[in-house]
Amino acid sequence: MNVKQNIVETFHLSKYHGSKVRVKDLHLKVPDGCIYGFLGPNGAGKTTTLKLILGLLKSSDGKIQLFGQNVTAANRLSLLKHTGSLIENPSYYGHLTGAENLEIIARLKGVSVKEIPDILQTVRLYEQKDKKVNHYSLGMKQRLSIAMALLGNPQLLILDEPTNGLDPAGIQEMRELIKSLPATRNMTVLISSHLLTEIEQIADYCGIINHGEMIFQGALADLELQGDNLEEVFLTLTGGAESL
Amino acid sequence: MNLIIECKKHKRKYHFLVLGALLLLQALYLAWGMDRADHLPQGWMIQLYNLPILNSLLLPTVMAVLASRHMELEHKASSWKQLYTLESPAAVIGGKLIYGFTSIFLFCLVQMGIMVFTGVFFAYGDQPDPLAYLLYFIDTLAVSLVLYLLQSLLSFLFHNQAVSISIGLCGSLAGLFILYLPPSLLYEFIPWGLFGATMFVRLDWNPVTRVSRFYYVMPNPVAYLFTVLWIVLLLFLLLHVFCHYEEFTEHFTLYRKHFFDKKKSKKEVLSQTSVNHTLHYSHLPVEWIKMKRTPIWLAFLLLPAISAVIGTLNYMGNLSVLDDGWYSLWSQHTLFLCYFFMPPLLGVLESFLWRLEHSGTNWNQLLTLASPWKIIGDKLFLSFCLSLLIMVWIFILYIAGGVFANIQAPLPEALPFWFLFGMIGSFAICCTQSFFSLIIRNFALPIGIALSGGIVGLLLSAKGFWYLVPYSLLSMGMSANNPYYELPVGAFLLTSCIFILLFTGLSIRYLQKADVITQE
Repeated sequence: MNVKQNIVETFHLSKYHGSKVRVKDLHLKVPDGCIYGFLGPNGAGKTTTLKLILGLLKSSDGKIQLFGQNVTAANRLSLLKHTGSLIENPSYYGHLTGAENLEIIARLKGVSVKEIPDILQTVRLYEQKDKKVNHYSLGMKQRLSIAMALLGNPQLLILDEPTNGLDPAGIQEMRELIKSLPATRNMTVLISSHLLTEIEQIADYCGIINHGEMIFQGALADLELQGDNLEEVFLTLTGGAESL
Repeated sequence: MNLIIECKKHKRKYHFLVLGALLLLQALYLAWGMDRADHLPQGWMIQLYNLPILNSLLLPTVMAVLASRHMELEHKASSWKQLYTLESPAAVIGGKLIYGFTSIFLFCLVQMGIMVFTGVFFAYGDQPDPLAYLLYFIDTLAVSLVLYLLQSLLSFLFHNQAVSISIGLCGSLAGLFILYLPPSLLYEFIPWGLFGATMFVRLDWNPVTRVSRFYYVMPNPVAYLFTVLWIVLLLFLLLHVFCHYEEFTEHFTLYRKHFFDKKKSKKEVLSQTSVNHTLHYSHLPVEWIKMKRTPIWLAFLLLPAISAVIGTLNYMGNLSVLDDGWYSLWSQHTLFLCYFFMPPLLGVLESFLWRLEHSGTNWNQLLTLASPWKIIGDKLFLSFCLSLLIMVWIFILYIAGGVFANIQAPLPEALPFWFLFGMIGSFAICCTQSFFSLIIRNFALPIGIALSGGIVGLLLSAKGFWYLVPYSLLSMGMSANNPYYELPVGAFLLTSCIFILLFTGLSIRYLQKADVITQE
């Protein structure tokens, strides 16, 4: 259907914890330049998958390709240089200011600190840059994390439930920001969520995971063909009330 | 009832292991130290002399660790607000304290058992005095409780556990030195000095015949009075702070702002009227930026300073025995510091450095940005620089102390070597502690390991096996217990290198292999 290169691709990706299966035989394909919505109920294995892709967890089986290259221990970090990520909750040093936190990330990414003011403007934190992050609201921390991920203008952005805990205005703002990224910054976005409505509004592609297994993957439009409305499709696929 | 709830909360936490490790150390000490022929005839009495000293060395830090663990449990779960809605403040604090008290009670009981066992095992010549042993039991229990209450208060007030543990360390060093100073009210007043103040066995050492004679004295009533007063006062304070927690933190923050952030608040006023449009970059290495606005250097300044001040005073007060100028002063300054206080202090440093990464989801960020080599390397480089600064500070204090005590002789020739080898030794401890603080996500536990390590190092050094643990390398390198000691330089450097490489390698390996666990 498309001939685009896949930015992220996994083959038979599995993660076991003893006898417990967290992720099983996962084939994830994220085409270049799209927004990929990674859907699933709580505990389905979304965060585990994203952590596996970033090398934060070691896979039990299978392989991962980023930008068309196999990820190995040796090239992991050089490939990750072209990614930005926000996993679980925001990561930050609370006793430092927003600007100082960004300076640390810029240094570690090897990016010029001159990028920081622009990024701060993008996430509307410029005015708050000299405040300690401990004194930030949750929404501000979330935006700071997005700023950290955007530093260095990566090709791939991996966001794990970025709207968690935000108020409606915050969600709206985050959505607009993410939607604009492929066009304005030429990025591919892999975003996970347990809220279908959210993914529906921004994603081009989507993958649905349940109990560690991928049960649907493809263009969002294809998913809509399977039933009257997406809500119903999603609930049927994930086993309905049982998983909620 | 509350006790059962607390026990449930501490399920799978194994805090009692800290007390167990301490008991094991004390048993080792008794077994190794008491089999001296000249001590056997008076063994039962000597135990009552030795153990309070051992307690005042170790229990303050152990109580700090224990209280910190008990309080941090709730800090981490952010459960205080919920507890307030479920129970009265008195019940919340009561449950915590009953749990702590029970732990201490059991500890004292087992300690008593160990004392009786060693007594019977070595067949001491004298008869045990049951009343004296009962009194010792009550003393230990009461003074431990004072320290536990004090540390609980500190651990509750300062979420950053580095504060309470550093205060505990400084206090216990002060308390230990007070033992060797001429009696003053200070001696009974400072909580950390109470183990010594409630002692009722004295040592009379005859420098001519070199015979030590132990004898009972009347227990010091002032010390008991202060013990009771401290318990009452601390209980009241804890309850008060608990009941008025919200208001209290508000006042506390304002107070802190007022005193520490004066300059900044001016800036803030400015920035409120017009946003500061320039961004200032520190251009420091990453790890150094993270050290901004952290008060941990206070502990590094204070601990060697306490050791130096009291060491100098002790030197000046005992010139008849300590007649070797700079060399005598050196032991006074460094002996306790190197064995008992620098290892835990370096432990505080490493726990502090790794806590930055253990908190929240910071590992997710860090590990996608930097390689294990760089992460460990950066932390150890910072540790190296900071321990270098501590070492410089110790030497400045030493020379200042000598000038103050008006020592006329030239400085010891070995001084640069003490400095160099001390530096290497303290870096070896840093690498070791860095590993423990990396794999143990808890703040206080690695510090307990460092404290035990220091004691084990002392015991092993006494038997000539100093090279078995990294913790004895600092005191060996600095020739802390005997300035005339000829250090086997080759063996020292080799041992240091082995420990440094071993623990650095293990740390890097751990980061390469382990799955990331983030703490919410």
